[in-house]
Amino acid sequence: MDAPILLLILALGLATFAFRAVPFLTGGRVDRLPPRLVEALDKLGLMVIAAILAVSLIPGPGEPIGAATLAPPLAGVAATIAVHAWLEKVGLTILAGMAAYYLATLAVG
Amino acid sequence: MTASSPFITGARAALPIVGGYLPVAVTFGIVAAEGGLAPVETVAASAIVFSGAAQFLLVGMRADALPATTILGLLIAINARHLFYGPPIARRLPASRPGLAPVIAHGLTDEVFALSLTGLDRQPEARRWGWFAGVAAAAWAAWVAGTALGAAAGGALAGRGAAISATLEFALPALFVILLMPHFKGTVRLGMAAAFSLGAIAKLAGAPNAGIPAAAIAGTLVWYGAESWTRRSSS
Repeated sequence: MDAPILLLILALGLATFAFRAVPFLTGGRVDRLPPRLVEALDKLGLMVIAAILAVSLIPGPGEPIGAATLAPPLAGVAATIAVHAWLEKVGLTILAGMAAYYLATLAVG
Repeated sequence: MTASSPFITGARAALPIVGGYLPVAVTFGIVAAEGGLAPVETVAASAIVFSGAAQFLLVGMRADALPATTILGLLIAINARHLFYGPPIARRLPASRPGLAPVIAHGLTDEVFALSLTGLDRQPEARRWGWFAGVAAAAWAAWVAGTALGAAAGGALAGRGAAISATLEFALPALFVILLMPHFKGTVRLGMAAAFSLGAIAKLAGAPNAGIPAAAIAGTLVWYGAESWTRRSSS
């Protein structure tokens, strides 16, 4: 077992629990913070996801840029967008994206 | 406990959440196994953190080898939104059982909050604590059980070849696309485009570690600037 990851999980769990529990203990007085700050924290989450998505999909400096590295993620993302727009089912959409990624890997590999 | 107890009524009301959580939790288990987490660590993440987006991001950022302090700082900032779910729920619960509050609060996810915001008003005051506990417990149990299933499946699929491994890893970007799609509009779209572009540049430059937080903060600032400009223009 990896002690640092467990510590990370514990610390994140504690912080998240505190955020959830404090309003119950303070009688709901924490919702007087500026609404724009609340909104910005919400948007920060989306921006982290967008940044990680880019890092997950784009090849690194040592990897070749060509059909073998670009076609699978492109096919996977296209299938994910199409199936989610059609069905709006998370599980099925992820499976469809993974299937498209796998087929494209076989096609260009 | 009778079938009509508030706890059971709440757990039944949470069935749509349970149905939504199970496939996502299974996916998290698979992705975490592929990302190198042991099954016990994966299940611990779901049981202790119980916050889907943060858990997926934790696995993603760990795979990108970000420093633990950066991961923790970003995820704590993201989960700070939970601070604003408690007040409207706390106001709907009678003050007779405050000792239960911190325990039950652990189940206050985005979806539990959304369901409880309207559902609590339809319950008599005396049943509200039990009803909310039922909703939260059912959601938590589904999330942890789905994660355990996924971790077992991910462990069984690991080591079956490079194509399978890469395909399993794609579950994470696929989920991120799904999470972003409903928000890809208006000024948020500009911020996302900025964050994605800067993240891509950072990866191409070989600096994803610094790139992810910088791209996310820059994207938030782009959104904030565009939103402020739009509001000023329309007022």
